Amino acid sequence: MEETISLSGGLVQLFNATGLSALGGGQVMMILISLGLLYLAIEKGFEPLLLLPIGFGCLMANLPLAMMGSGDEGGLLYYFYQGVRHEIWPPLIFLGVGALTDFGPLLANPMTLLLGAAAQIGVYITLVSAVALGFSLKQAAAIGIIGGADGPTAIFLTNKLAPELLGPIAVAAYSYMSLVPIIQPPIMRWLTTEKERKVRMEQLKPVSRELRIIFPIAVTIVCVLLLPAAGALIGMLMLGNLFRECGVTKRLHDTSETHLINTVTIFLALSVGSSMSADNFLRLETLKIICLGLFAFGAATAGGVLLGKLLNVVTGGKVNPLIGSAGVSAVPMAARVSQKVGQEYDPHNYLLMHAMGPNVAGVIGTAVAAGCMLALFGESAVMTPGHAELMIGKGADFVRSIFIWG
Amino acid sequence: MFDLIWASLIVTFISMIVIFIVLGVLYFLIVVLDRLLPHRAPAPEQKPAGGQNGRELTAVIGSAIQTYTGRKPGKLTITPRG
Repeated sequence: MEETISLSGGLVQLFNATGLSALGGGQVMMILISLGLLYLAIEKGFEPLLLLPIGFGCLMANLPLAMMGSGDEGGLLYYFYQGVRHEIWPPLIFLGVGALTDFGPLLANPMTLLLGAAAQIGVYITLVSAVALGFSLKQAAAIGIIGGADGPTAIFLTNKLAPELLGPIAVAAYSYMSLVPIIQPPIMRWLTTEKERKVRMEQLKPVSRELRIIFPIAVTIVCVLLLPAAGALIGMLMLGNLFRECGVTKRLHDTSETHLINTVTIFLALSVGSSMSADNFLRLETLKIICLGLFAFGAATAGGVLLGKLLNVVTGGKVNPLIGSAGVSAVPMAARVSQKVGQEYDPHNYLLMHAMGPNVAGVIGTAVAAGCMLALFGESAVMTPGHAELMIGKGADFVRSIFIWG
Repeated sequence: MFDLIWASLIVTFISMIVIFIVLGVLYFLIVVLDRLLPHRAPAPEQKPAGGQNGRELTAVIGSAIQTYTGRKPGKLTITPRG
C-alpha cells in the first residue's frame, strides 16, 4: 500500500523533527547561561581555555534532540563524558601540569610546603558551611574542594562523591580561579601589616639535579602509600614532573606539556559543559555552590596568609606572609598575585619565585585533601559513608563527653 | 543537622592533621635529600688546548724538539732567495 502524506501533516512532522518542538524554558535559560560563559571567556578573558569549551559544551547539551548531553547515550559528548566518569581526563591533565611545573622553588625552601597545607583549611571551612546550608557530607566535601583552586581535582572528587553537582562545581571552580587577582588582594591587605608586606626574602639556593629527579619518585611513594585514594592524581602529577626533570624523555615532556594537556582540556571541558543540563543546573543549590565557592577561595587565601604570618614570626621576619596566599594552587596566577601585591609596597621586592613554592605545594596539598575525602567518603573507602558518619558520631560523643566532663 | 555539622568538624580536624603529616613528611624528606645530594657548582671551564694564547703548547713542542735534536730550537727565519 502506498503511503500518503498531506501538506499540513508533512509540515507538522517536519516541525516535530526540529529542536524547536522540544525547546523548553529551562533549556532556553541554559542556552543564555552558556552564551554568558562564552561572553566571559571571549570578551573578558576569564580562563578562556576552559570556560569557552565548557560554555560551548553547555550550549550543545541544551539544544534539544541533538543528543549532546552527558547522559544521552550514543551522542558524541556522552563518550567524552566517560573520560570524566571513569576518571581519565583529570589525571591526564595532572600529567601535563606536572610537566609544566618547576618544583625548584619548593625544593629550595621546603618550609613553603606548610603554606600549601594551611591553605587547605579553606576547603574544610567550606565543607562545614556547606553542611550547615543543608548539603550532605559527600556533596559538602565536593563543594569544599573548590577552595583548593584546582579544577581537575575538583572535577575528579565531585565525580566520585557528588556527580549530580559536577556542572555547578566546575563552573564555580574555574570562574573563581580566573578571579583570583580580584578576590585575593583585599584579603591579603586586610590580614597583613605594611611592614610585613615589605619583607624581602633571601635569594633561593640552587637545587641539585639528583634531588629534582628523586623528589617526584619519593612523593609518589610517600603520598600513595599514605593516601592510596590520591594515587591517580599525585602519581600522574609526579610522572609529568619526572618527564621534565630526568632529561632523557624530552619528547614525552614536550608532548605532555603542550599537545596532550591541550587535547585533554578540550575533552574535559566539553564533558563538563555537557553535564550542565537544565534540570541539573537550574536549582537553588547552584546559587549556594557559587556563593560557597567564593567563600572557599577567601578562606583558603586567609589560611595561607595567616600561616605565613606565623612563619614570619618564627623565622624572625624572614618570610613575607604575602606568599602564603599562593598556597591555594591556581598555578601560577596566585603566585603572580603575591608578587603584584608585594611590589605595590616595595617595587624592588621580587616575591614571584618564593611564592611558587607554596603555589606548587598547594597542588600537592589539594590532591592530598581530595585523597582524605575519598578515604572517608569514597567508594573505595574501607568505611562506607554510613560507617564513617557512625564512627564520627561516636568520636563526636567522645569529644562532647570530654567537654562536659571538663 | 547539628550531628552533621559536628561530623564535618571532625572530618576537618582529621583531614587537616593528615595533610600536615603528609606534607610534613615531604618536608623532612626534602631536607634529608638536600643534605645527601647538595647542589654542586659546575666545574670551571676547561682551558683551551695549548693554554693561554697557545704559549704552553709552543713550550711543550719546543721542549720536545730540544730533547730530540739536542739543541735549542731557533727562531724561524725566512731567507730571501735569488
